[in-house]
Amino acid sequence: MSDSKTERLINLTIALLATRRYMTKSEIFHSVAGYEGSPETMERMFERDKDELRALGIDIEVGNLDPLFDDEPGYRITRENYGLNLGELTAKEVSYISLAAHLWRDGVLSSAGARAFNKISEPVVQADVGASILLQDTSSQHFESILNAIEERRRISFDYFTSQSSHRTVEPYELVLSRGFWYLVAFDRDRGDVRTFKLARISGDIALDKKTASYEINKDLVDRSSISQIVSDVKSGTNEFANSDSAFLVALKVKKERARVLRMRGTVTPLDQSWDLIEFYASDIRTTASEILWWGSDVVVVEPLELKEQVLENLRQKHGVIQHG
Amino acid sequence: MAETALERVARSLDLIPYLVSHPGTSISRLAEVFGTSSLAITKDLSLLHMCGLPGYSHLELIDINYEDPEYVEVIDPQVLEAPRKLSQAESISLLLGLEQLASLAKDNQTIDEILALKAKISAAIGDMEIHARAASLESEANPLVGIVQEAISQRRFLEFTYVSAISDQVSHRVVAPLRLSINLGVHYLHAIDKEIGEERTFKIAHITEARLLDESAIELLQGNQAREDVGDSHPNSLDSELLRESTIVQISPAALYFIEENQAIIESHLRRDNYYEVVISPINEEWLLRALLGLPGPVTILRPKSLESRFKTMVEQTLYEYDSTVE
Repeated sequence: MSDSKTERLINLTIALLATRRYMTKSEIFHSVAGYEGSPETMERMFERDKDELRALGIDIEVGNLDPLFDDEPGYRITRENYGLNLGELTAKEVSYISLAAHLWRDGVLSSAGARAFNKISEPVVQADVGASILLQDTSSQHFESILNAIEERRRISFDYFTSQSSHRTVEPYELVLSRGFWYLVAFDRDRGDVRTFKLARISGDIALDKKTASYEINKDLVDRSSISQIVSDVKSGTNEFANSDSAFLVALKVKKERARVLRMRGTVTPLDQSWDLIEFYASDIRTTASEILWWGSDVVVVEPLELKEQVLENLRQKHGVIQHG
Repeated sequence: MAETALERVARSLDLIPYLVSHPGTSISRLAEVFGTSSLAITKDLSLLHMCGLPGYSHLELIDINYEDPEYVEVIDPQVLEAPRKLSQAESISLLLGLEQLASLAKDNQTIDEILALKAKISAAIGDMEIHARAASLESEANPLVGIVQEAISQRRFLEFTYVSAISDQVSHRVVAPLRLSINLGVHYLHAIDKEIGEERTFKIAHITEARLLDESAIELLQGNQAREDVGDSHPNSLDSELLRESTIVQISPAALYFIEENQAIIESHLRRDNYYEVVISPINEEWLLRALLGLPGPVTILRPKSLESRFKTMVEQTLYEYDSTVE
């Protein structure tokens, strides 16, 4: 990207931060380095620059030079709006921030956390709340470009891999972290509905549409997407939103003295000499089927029927391969 | 992906206040802090050198001394001395980080303090909309975490009962705790087992009846310092039988998550027409069998043969239990 645009945006920020009174457009065009061309060109440049700085969180205040007269509007950036103002922080608060900022093991959030901490605190402060915590961060190279796309409301397109590869064009809504993976919730234009994508399954580069502010985020559609739903959808490869009122009672027969971890999850009642009955609530058939199969022949599904079928299907698929192999 | 002008503007505006509070930082360190290359930092500095207040004489320009790459300092920051508001990624890192931290807090008071701080930071972020969030986490403190945290900070031995999901056994442990970690949303304790003398990983949710012992664990912890950073929170660091060779297995595309979630033990994977062929490094046999049994779709173990026959038996035995319980 050209140096001149970067330079102009920095100069504009500095000029508007330094001025106490509002600067008019003509003053800006006249004095800030980088504004060149016809009045219309400069006008367009300035409008775009304002939007871009706003996307960085830099708010340009608009006001009138003389409050008594409705004359040409002026522009400035106030220190309060520009600067980070957390007020006085206690040593404990600084420790928490340090831990939070540094618990990402790698990736974008790790370096962003370090930068945030550098802004907030002097390097001499040593954080110690008595524990060290490491958090796995599997954020991919796509994390930051998607974040930028959302901020500027730019459509993106990419190759997405489920059972087969497909090219998708979406309006990105938000990123959701769940169980160590990032998911994108986006409006899929071709399918006319909200879809969820696991960032790890996006292959190749993400193409950002040139046009900014090209859509609005439909909050109702975002709210429909509960996190567990997102994960199970992506896992099962359906990428659809299923019904969310899905908690169901699971009843299992468990051999005595077996599946000890599973026993910690629900209520246990003795059935006969060799089996106990365990009951608990679950929200997803496929995930629960996987969890139950972990225990092999020590656990047998009693209810619901749908779960039992799923477990049996999983088993038969494996048995089928063994038979033919 | 090529960097946008905006990303460069953001970094440049943050470089100045950083250098004001950290004078004498080297270019390579700046590259590290800002997550970019030394070349990019050098370009930023030379660009910043040409920016400043209208007038743009030497008195109005930002003045930076970066002739010595080992020692960069700002002589005149113009109006950029104070740090800028947190960026989108910085806010996400802190806010989500604080949430995760709260999920491992030792008591409810700590949770309240952390969440109050989170609210304070949210307020300081102002109108900027945050476009990333995390799955909802526990809002109640786990008393067990409190005991573990205490053991870590006081460097004392911790005694507990551990229920292993892999061996399906209950064992009594005395450990010197090292740290807590969160991996794939699961909370772990990394500790040196006193009896074995080696580092082990425990799922917090599977620990019961924990008790802080009076005995100091400093000696054992110091002896372990050299390898403090090893140990991924993966079943291969748990104690029990390890396979002697790598496993080659074919799994269904529906089981792709198995590959994604177990990167640490996957040597390679190859997509074929309707399955993945996966090479798994030598790990705990019991864990592998159980994990494979739970996968959706067909599973074929190509190597080792002993594992294949054990797997076959597991599948048949489980099917048998269903057949024999038909009413």
